[in-house]
This record gives sequence, structure tokens and C-alpha cells, in this order.
Amino acid sequence: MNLMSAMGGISDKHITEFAFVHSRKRRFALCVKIASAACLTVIAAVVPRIGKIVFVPFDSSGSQSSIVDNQLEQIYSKMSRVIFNGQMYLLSTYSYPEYERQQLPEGYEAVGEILSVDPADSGKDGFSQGCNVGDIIYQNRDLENELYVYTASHYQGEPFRYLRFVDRETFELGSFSSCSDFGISINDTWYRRIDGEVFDKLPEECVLIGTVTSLDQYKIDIKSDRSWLHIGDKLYQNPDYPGAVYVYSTFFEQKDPKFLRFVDFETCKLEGKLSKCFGLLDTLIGVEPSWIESSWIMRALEAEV
Amino acid sequence: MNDTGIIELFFERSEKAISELSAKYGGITFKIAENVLHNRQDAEECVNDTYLGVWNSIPPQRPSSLLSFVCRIARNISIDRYRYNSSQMRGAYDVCFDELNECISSRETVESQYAADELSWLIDEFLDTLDRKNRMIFVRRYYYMDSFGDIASAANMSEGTVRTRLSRLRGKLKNFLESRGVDV
Repeated sequence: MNLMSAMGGISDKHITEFAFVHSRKRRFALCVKIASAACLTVIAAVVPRIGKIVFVPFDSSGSQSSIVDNQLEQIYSKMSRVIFNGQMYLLSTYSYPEYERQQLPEGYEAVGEILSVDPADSGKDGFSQGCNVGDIIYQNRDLENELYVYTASHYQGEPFRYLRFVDRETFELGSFSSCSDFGISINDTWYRRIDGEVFDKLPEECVLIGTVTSLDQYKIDIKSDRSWLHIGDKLYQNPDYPGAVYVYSTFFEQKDPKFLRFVDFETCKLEGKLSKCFGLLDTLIGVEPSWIESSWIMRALEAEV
Repeated sequence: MNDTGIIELFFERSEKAISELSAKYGGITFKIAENVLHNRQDAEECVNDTYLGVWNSIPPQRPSSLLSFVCRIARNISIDRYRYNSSQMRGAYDVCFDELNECISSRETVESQYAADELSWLIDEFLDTLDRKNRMIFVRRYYYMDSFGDIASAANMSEGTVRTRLSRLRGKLKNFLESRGVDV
């Protein structure tokens, strides 16, 4: 008795599941040939539809001044993205390892290829040199919120391999939860500060709910000892509006202490302030990321309630 | 023609059954035989022997899955042929045999504890723990005896990655068998 003999007795389902496997390269070559033949015969009629799978590179002509509240569409129109099966997938740019991989994660399979690239742009931006026609798109059938595109483009001498694109909801949640700005985690819900939301007075309905109990030291600015949050800072909330919390911050102590407002993801979306969370968009649109050292970035990881 | 129709032809003892079977599963049958034997002529003979084996088995048998039924017969016939031919050369079967037997140190011990069916069931259970891609790699290597290159091509990964992954899978199998009380 040996394992090879035992392999001969495995169940029908395992035998039949992989009875027919084919070389993907050959299959794609065949697909390309078929697609080419089809295109030649009907190209005039289907030109408007060929762009179903389109890589749209970043629009480098845009400027930061165009980013305003409730202008997500405008923001997305400036970002590298792939249109696949009618859905938009944005380059997941919120941290370097997030959007670029040398190896495809397990469970992904080829689902298509880039059919066209927006001719209006060279396809280069601060993050990538874009995708090319023929680059293969991979997706995990259980994870339709993201896809990878294999590209041979290079960036700063390093070969790109698999670029990760995510759907809009994933992108927005990732942007909101990004460590690049600071916020507060309360009972596993992330509340994030929205730029400009500093109040002299606490809304009357708010009550004290807890204090900041720990800080992420890695996010403390190395050039300044000023901090937005401190351990022991008081947290307030309107019990009828749990999507927002206020922190009594001494950051403005040279004037008066102020109340900083933090909101959760749903509230941020409902209030149309999601675009204000796109701090890394500076980098996206080509500004050197010097702000990483010069800003006051910190993050309160936990609060006791 | 669907599998049920082909099986009915066998029951009717119609010679068309063989041509339909050949048209539908001739490719996979030949692939299995060729993977084991690495010899086209021998593989073709095994394919014919497989058809004869199916003809002799149906009826009385009425397999629930004609595909796996054919694959089993083809694999067994090919391995028998390989053993018959092979005193002189190491082929895919030997290589796969050696690879898998890294997972068990004593065949006698395993044999004394587990009948063939029981070990097959354990492997089935192990396969169910794997994700689809790893399962495909394992089954294509140790059931169909595909080359690393063929698997790499099907899985869209490098041969080296396939080898590494198979090595890890064998390690997992070893641990799995240990956890099920097999003395490995």
C-alpha cells in the first residue's frame, strides 16, 4: 500500500474537478486570435463597445485645488482605474504594498485583459506607468471587490508585477480607514477627523463617554512635540447621533482648547465629506509626499468608553 | 452526447458507445496514459485497453460519474503497463511515488493500519482542506501525474513555484495524516 495507490482511490468529485485543465497561455493566445478575428470583421460596429475593459490612467493635468467636498467623481476621474464588466476599479494606492505585488495571491484566475488604454494620457502617474493593452486581469471569484492586473511596466527601476485595483466602496473604506490621518477607535469602530471641523463649543446634547487611552507612537510627528490628541483627552458624543464623537483637544492651547469632531464611515458618507478623507491624494496627483514628515500626524488607537 | 446517453449505449452493447466515449473522453484518457508512460504508442494501447475495460464493466456497473470511471480505469491500466515495462527506466510514476512517499516513513506500518480505501478517504479529506488552486496542483500531479511544466502552465505560475508549493503540500499532507493517527 502506498500513497500513489491511495491517490487512485480518491473520490469522483476530486477526479472530475480538474480533469480538464488547460494552459492559460495557450488559452489566452487562442482568445486573442478569436478576438482579433472578431474585431476585424465587426470593428466598425463595435468600436464604442471595445472599451469595456479599459485602463484609465491618472490625469496628471489636474490640480489639488479641484478637490472639494462631494466631488468624489471628480477625484476618481483623475485616478488610475480599470473599467471591468461595467464596474470601476480604482488603483489601491493607500499604502505601497497594497497596490503592488510580485506574486498574485492565491485563488485568483485570469478573467480578461486590458482591451484599450485611454489615449488621452501616457498612462504615467506618481504611482505607476500604467497598464498596457494585453495586460492580463485576474480576479478571485469570491472577491469581486478587487482585481489585479499583471503589467510589465516599471516604476523607478522596480518592475511592477500585479497592480491591485479595488471597487469604489472598498477604495472609500480604505481611504477612510487609512493610517495617513488620525482618528479614534472606539469599540472597533473607526472615527476619523475631518479637516476643518474644529468647534469652540460642544453641542449641547453631547455627554462625556470616555477618554483616549492609547496612542500610536509611530504616527507622532517627529519634528514637533505638538500633538492633536493626548492620552486622557475627553470624548463626548450625542447619544442620538452615535456616528460622531468630539474630543476636547489642547492642540490649540495657544488660543483656546477646541473640540475636534470625528465621524465614522457611514456618517462621513452621509454628510458628503468623504473626499476630505483623501489625504494621500496629494501624492496621487503628483505632489511630493513631503507632508509625511512635516504634518502633525498621529492616531489615537483606542479609547475607553 | 451526455454521459447518461453513452452509458445507455454501453448497456445496449452498441459499438457506437466506444466512438462516443472516445470523442468525449479520449483526450483525457490519452493524457493520463501518456503522463504515466511517456510513450505515445503505449499510451494509445492503454487508451484502447481502457475502452475495452469500460466495455467489460458496463454493464453490469452503471457509474454515477462516467468521467471519473474512465479516468480510474485509464490510470490503473497505465500504471500496470508502466510496471510491466519499467524495470529499466524511472518514469513519472516513480518520481511521483517517491515524492509522495516522503509523507510516510514506513509503508508496512501504514498498510497495517489502513486499508487502501481508508487512506484514499483520508486523502479526500485532506484535499477538501485545500483551496481550489492547491487542490488542482496536488490532484494534477499525483492523480494525473502531470509534469511540473504542465501544471505551471495551467496554474499560471512558474515551475519553481509549483515545485515549492507541492513540497509544502506534501508537508501538509504528512501533518494531516499524523493528526489522523497515521504513523508517518
